[in-house]
Amino acid sequence: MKKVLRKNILMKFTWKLSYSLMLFITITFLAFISFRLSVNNKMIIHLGNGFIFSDFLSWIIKVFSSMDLGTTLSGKPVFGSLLKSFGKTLMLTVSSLIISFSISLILGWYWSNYGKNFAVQTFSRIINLISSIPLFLAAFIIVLLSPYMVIDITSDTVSTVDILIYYLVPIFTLSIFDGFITEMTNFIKIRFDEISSEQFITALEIRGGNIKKHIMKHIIYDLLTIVNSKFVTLIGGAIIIEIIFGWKGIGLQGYNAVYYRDYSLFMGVIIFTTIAIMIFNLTTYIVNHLIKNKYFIDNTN
Amino acid sequence: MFIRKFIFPKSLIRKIVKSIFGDNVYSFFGLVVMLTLFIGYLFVSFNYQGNYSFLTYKLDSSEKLAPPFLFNSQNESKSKSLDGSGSNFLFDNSNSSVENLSTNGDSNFNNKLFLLGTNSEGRDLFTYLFLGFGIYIIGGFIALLVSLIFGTILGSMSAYFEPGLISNIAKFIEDIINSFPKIIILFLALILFGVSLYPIMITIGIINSTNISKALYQKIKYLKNNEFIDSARQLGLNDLNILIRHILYYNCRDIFIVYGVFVIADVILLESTLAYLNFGIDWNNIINGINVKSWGTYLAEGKEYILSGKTWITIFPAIFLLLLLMSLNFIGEELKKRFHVK
Repeated sequence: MKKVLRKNILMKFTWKLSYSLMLFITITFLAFISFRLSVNNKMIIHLGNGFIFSDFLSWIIKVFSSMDLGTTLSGKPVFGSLLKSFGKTLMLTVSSLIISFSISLILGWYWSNYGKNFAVQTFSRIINLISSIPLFLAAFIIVLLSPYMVIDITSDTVSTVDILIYYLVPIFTLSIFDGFITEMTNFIKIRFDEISSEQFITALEIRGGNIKKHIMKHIIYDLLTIVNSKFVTLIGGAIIIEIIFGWKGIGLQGYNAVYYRDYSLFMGVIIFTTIAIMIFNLTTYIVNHLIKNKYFIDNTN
Repeated sequence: MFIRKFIFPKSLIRKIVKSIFGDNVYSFFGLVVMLTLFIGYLFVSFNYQGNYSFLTYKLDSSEKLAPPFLFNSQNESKSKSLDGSGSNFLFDNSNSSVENLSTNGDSNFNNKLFLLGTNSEGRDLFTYLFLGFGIYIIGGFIALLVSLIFGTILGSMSAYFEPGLISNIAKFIEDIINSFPKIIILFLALILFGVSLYPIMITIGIINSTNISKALYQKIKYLKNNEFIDSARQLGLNDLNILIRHILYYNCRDIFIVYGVFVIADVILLESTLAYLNFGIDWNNIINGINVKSWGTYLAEGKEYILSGKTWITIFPAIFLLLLLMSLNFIGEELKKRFHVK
């Protein structure tokens, strides 16, 4: 039984991997074509000037063999400068994902259990209101109100409180104002109502089992399936946050690339974000399957 | 009568009316905000040549930014101003005293009030904010049209022809759009086509089409196994007829209505975000040849003035933006509830 399951997972994983690779190649190909056909082309030396498919093939082989994404307008290698700044973006995205995930779990759980309470209802209404505030506006207001702009992280006299403010303010802004919490809490509320009305839960209730634990398991599994799409929106939010807060991440690089029409840098930004999203998708896919096989063995056959 | 029945059947109108005038106060508030903005826009845009002189008027002094609630009067400036030469009750206007302001020969402009102050060009902010709403009407219409057409094609392809190549291709296209953050796709459009109206609005439409196609996918997948589709096939109707008339038109109108509201909300959000990041669409000569700016552009401009105490140029566009987005979200959520769209 276990061997069959493991084989099944491997098959599915290889299919998923090849599908994501196909997706990645298509995306880079589309970006390649659009840069080649654009009017103000400054990348023609880097991308080649011959037949488009052979040029693309030689370009992508060059990218993956020697990690060569060309140079920026200021003469630095794209790959090195993006790799340096990519850590900050990843930190911002993943930490805000974890924070918003945990906040929304607590809120959603509380809301679905004590939803008839007036205070809880008003609180949920406030959360809905927060979601309609644009992220850039919230970030702009927070930058103005907080002492963020005064902090110089590179100076010698910087205190630990300043460092905490420097790192935590953007992360919390992204995790609260990206609309992630609202969607998650709504989702948890809907799924809680759906699962608790199912027959196996009533059967469990009659037997005297722990219902809430079972419902929670199902909800967390469902959340893992939708967290993929949320990661993409969080990366988009991280780009806006980086531009407004002045974090030297991949978003600020992309913004500068658009501002100065630095084609090769923007191509690098596209490749980096796509790879990050693909890797995240694959990991959530594996985690999903591990949980699925642990709790829902019947579904896999 | 037939046209009314065909386009707006009673059940549909009843649901929309119930969702707005029902027990939810918030959606009614949303409608009031939308109507106020729309009527204001109509009033301003139809009077641009007539006697409504706030549109063509421009402050001619060295100080272009006049604070809110400031009477502009040549003869009675000292007596008519709210608080002499000091600061008024909301904003500090010590930099721009009333004597500095003068009209450019427009006699209609005596004793006029800048309700929300003036913008950096010296024009009345209140009027130009209402005029800026027209931008979202035009842009929203383009993006809505694109997203409806593209989303319908993708959703119906992926669901109706489910086990097959057509469905797989449609799903692959959806995956490509979904595996990018919205802002990166918009940046790509910016770097390729520049800051112009149609490419950016079409891009926003394409980005939002995946939401519609996702909702359509589930609905069509459920509907295509129903008995009435089987009987339609037995009667000899072809796939296109069944798909367009019996599935999309009669059964999926609610999805178009609900997601249409969210597409327009997203247009406003993304356009103002781009404008705030200094990539605002060049709206000159789009509305009646007047230099209109979107609300996001005012927010971007306000960054320069906000620390010197001239806050009105940032605060009022932000309030307008928040009110509009909130009202659209309220209406959308209520419609979602009424039409049972997930």
